[in-house]
Amino acid sequence: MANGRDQQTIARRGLGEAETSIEAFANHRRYSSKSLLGHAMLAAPVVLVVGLLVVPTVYTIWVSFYSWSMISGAEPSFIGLGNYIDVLSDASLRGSVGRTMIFVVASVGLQFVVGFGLALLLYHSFGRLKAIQTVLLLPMMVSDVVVGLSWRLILQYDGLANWTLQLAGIPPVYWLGEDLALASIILVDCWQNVPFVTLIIYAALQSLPEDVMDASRVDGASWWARLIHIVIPMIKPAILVVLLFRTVFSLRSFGTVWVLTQGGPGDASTLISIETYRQAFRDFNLGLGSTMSVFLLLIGLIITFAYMRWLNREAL
Amino acid sequence: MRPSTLPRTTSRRRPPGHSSRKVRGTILLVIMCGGALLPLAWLAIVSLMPQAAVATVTPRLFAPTLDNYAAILSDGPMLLRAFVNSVTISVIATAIAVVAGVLGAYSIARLKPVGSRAAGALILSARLLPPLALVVPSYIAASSLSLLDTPPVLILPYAALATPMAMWIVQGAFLDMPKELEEAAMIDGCNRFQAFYSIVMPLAAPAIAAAAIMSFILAWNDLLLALPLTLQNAVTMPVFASQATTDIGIEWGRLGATTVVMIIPVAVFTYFAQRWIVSGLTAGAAKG
Repeated sequence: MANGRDQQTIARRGLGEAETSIEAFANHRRYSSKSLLGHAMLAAPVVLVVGLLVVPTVYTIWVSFYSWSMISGAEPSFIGLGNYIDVLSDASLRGSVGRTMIFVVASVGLQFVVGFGLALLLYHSFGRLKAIQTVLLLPMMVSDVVVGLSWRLILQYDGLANWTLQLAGIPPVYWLGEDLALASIILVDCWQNVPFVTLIIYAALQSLPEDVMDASRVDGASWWARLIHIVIPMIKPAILVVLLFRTVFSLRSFGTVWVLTQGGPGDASTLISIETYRQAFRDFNLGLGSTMSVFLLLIGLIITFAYMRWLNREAL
Repeated sequence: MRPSTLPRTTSRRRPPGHSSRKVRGTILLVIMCGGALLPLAWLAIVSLMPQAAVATVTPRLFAPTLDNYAAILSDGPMLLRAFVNSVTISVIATAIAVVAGVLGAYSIARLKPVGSRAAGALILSARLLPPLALVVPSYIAASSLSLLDTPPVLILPYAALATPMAMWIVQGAFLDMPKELEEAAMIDGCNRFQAFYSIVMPLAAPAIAAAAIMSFILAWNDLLLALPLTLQNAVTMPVFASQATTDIGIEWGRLGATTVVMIIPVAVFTYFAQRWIVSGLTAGAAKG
């Protein structure tokens, strides 16, 4: 019996070797044409991405070293780090960088807690999330302009939010006024992205082997202890992916805020993206506008690499 | 040992309180649905209010009317132009992104020429670059080529922004497909490209459609690039809708109708592409 199987294995291995050598021979003869086709097919996306994303981004970095005004009519002049010094020394420009950080940390933190909580609740109650997936995806799939407009209709002074408050006997609030504008745009960003957190975390929870949960339950671990010591470590990669994506995309928020407040009142809700737009297309100061967007690029890259290192360390 | 002889571990014991948990789950889903839909639904409801009722937009009973939709249709050329621009720009950008994505995906998944791994990594990591960094160079390039306020200045960056995601989605489908299919076709006398075109592409059609949908939505929704690069002739729906708010006294009825027009294609496409959306949005993060 055993002998027969061995022979079979040997025969199969021999066949395998024969196949690979035939393939290698064929590949050798076909090499140039297959490789040529491969390179030709790769060229299209590489040219698009390099030519229209990488090169323009590098160009933006280059422009950020120039004093480049569209209205003065003067030739662009190289000023080194001049624009960067401006951003760091000007209270309003620096403010937009700080505000963006507050916005991202508060918004991502809040949507993560809420989204995670909903995923856990669903996991413990046999919710069929698939059934309502389209509805949950809708807030993040529709245009930021639509999101901004629909919330403006709710948050404006005579809108749905204040109408509800008045029903409860609470005086109306300026949701988009000086004091609350930043909180309001954080709230809207959360509304838009909580489903993303829930969908990914819920999928990760469902992929956990059930006996892990059961075994620890038998051991008498409390629900909270199981969550902290067993569930969260096991779904850490999913958690990191969610946080990475939400951080990077929150950082880029533009349309929603533009439609809701245009960064106002004053600077109350001005993020880096809004400030870039103001500098470049209201004041036509392309150099300073570029510098603002380079700040966004740098912050995004730093955050991404930090997460990546963390993710890789977790995977090992 | 054959897998079937192993004790089954997947049978789910029904814990006590199963049905009450099911009820709780359903309630939770209904609440989540409501929360996700309410702001959009309210906008849609306001779009059905008669003009007089819209003046103060608070909940009330009213006889639904399509007046606002009739009004935006007869409002003159601006909305129509924005709609045509949005459709044209999104469709062409989608076509470019999908063709580039499919070609690149097949090369990386199957042909694997020298450098394809590096190229794939490069394309995916280009998603790290914020679209905001494209705004100033696009403006400079467009104004020096006298292309400001024309569709191509939007089509090209949208196509480029959509390509990595499109490629990622399609690549997944190609990798899931058994190699033997193409090999059989090639033995039957197809060349490599014919095998790709007539065997692989049709089988990957659902993923390609999803890639097209994601690309279309990206272009259809964008405000960031469209706002500075268009003025009048190439204005898209998001620009048109966002500008309605800067006038004093917003006509919410008409604006609601305009945004419903913006939502409908996205809602339909989201329904059909839901399987791919989450993986497409997080392209490159998952292992593989």
